[in-house]
Amino acid sequence: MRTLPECSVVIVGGGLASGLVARQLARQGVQTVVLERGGDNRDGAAGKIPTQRDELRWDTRLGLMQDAARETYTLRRSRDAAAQPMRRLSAFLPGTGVGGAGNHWGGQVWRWADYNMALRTRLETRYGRGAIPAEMPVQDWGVTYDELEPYHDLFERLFGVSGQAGNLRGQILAGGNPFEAPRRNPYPQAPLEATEAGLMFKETVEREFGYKPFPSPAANSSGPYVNPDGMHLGACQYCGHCDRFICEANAKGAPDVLLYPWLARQPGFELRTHSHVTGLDYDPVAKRVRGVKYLDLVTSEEVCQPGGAVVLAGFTLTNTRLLLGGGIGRPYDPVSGGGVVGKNFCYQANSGISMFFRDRWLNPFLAAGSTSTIIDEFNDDNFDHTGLGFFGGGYIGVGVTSGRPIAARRLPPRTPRWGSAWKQANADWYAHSCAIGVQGSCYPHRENYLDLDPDHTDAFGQPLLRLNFDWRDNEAKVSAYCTDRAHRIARAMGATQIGPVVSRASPFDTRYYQGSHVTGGTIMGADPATSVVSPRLQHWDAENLFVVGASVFAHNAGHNPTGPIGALALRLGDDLARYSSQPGRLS
Amino acid sequence: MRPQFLAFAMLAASPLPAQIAPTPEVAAGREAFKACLACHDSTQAQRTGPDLRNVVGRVSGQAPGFRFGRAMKKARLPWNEANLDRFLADPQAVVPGNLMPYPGLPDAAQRAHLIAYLKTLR
Ligand SMILES: Cc1cc2nc3c(=O)[nH]c(=O)nc-3n(C[C@H](O)[C@H](O)[C@H](O)COP(=O)(O)OP(=O)(O)OC[C@H]3O[C@@H](n4cnc5c(N)ncnc54)[C@H](O)[C@@H]3O)c2cc1C
Repeated sequence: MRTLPECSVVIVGGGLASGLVARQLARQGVQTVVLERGGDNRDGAAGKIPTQRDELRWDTRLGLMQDAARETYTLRRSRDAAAQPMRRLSAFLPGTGVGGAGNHWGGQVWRWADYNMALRTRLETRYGRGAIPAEMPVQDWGVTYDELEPYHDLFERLFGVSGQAGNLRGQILAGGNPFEAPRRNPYPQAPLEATEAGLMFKETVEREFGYKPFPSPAANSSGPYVNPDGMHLGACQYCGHCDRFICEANAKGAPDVLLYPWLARQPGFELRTHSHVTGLDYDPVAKRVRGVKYLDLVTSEEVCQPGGAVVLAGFTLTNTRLLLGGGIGRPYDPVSGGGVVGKNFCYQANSGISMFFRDRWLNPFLAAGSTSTIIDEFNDDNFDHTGLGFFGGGYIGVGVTSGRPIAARRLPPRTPRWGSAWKQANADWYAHSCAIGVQGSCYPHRENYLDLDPDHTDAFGQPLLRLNFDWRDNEAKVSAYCTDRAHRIARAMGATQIGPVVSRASPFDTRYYQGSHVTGGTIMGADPATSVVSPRLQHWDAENLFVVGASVFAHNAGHNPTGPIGALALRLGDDLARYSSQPGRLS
Repeated sequence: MRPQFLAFAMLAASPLPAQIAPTPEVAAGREAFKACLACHDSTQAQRTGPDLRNVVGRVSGQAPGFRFGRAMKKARLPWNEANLDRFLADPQAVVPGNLMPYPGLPDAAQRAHLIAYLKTLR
């Protein structure tokens, strides 16, 4: 193994969180090396017309995602079952390449309700000390929303987020999300155009239920935009090839448009692509990480990059896997409930109901990744859970995000699966159907956790990460409750036909996409006994090691995760600049 | 930052020679050009879209070093004011199948400003 000269900060993964950390460091002149296993896709076929529109390549065949033949995950739904590897990744899709999943994301940028960062306190205060079931280890994150607010604001300005403010410095504004945490500034850009289905949803929930619908906050640029670093976004063209695609119009707030081209011009910044990180060189006595070991995929050489500080920003699963593989921190033990690494692995209990409107033109092909109209009345703890027998909730909304020819084939129940009748139904319903969806929270469960698989390895011979996960009673109840609310709205919208109403419940089925929002495994908190990293994202057992991404979330809310990831990453960048000049435990 | 770098950075941000004050038309055109900046850069060779220096007077599909799509190459449209005006109003109508993800600028006055600005890009 070749050992390189030490640099100030080494970051594992070249995705969204990494780019934000590196941006803060570059502004303060701190030397940074980013190790990314994939290549740069921006100037290739994925980012250019006509190949950009290749649904088969990028969507069906997951051309921009982690290659499951090289590295996948195993799953078992209970501890007495045998774990099986997922031969094809379908349920969630880890990204790869410069910019990570942040390049081909949909762009919904949320600020979670402020009580989320102190969820245990919130639930105990509202429902009593004994209300939280023993098998639900929800905990406070050790950080408050107020501390993160300036970084949310910066993230939104860097990514040119389009949206309608709902809570401006405590003042509730019409047209926005009244449950939004208070914000200091309006969104940098006006909301995206609403879809026809979104307008129908809005009109119905206002009239029939008195709910407060609002446009999803979007990193799809509603107009031309210049961010604080002088980086440009074009205006979204509503092309319907957004989520799972790279935007050829440079109209999506994405790391490969806004962060990495800017970073490339900063002295002291270096991005190394095709560098697959295999481990951390940990000194358990000094409680420090000496360096990061990686495989140069071009030369097949093994390299060690020593660093003054090391940051894990390789997405939830890689972050957890590297800590487990390196023996850093105590692995979680579901029997005793002790240990921390791998703990509180969460997903999201998402569901959807198809709706068919014979006389309405919904034109699904005119869409962006975040053209959704949403209500938050039933999300998280925005409603009273007394007597409901569960905690959490979800957003409910109509999102029309694509009408692509292969996948957009929403057909009414009892349509034949092939033949002339199937073709006719496609023609009849393509422009007249949409879905009402729920993005349901997932709170931790004692038996949902990550560990290393004892049998299966990746292409490099390293143990695969094992998901111990199933939908537990709490998610089943959250999903049933929210899906029922969605069903009521679907009926009130006057749909000609409504598809099956199926909420999420055990068994967890990995064959269907359920969102890429997997969280936990390296959770943050104020108590080293129940968390992997401190509220400053510093590892409790390795002073110069930091972890960022949704792996630090102590639970998952009914909102997409990247807003809080962005805020945490920007704050970590500032903290690391401090750490580089004055190493030690950050408080 | 050293002074000569600063001067360079300022020049780079403004393609107009510093000593010539832009006419109101050109200034308005520069504003309108913001919608193009995500892909076209008048100072740096090639980005998502071709370099627009000297575009007025050029033939379509001809910017040195840029890989154009078939439609734009085949069109061989002289970029004079009249053609630019038609093209910018509705790019797909004038060069069907061209690859620029832009729906067009409906306002004739804004197009005139934009063209006035494009003429200054040398
Ligand atoms: C299709 C899709 C749509 C999405 N839509 C939304 C949305 O609308 N809203 C939202 O909030 N979130 C959305 N997400 C999730 C969002 O993309 C992620 O939350 C975000 O990208 C996470 O940032 P990250 O930096 O942690 O991970 P990433 O951005 O994925 O970056 C991680 C990087 O680490 C690299 N890496 C991993 N392992 C290694 C290794 N061993 N060695 C070297 N490099 C490694 C990866 O290649 C990757 O580039 C979506 C995700 C997908 C897949």
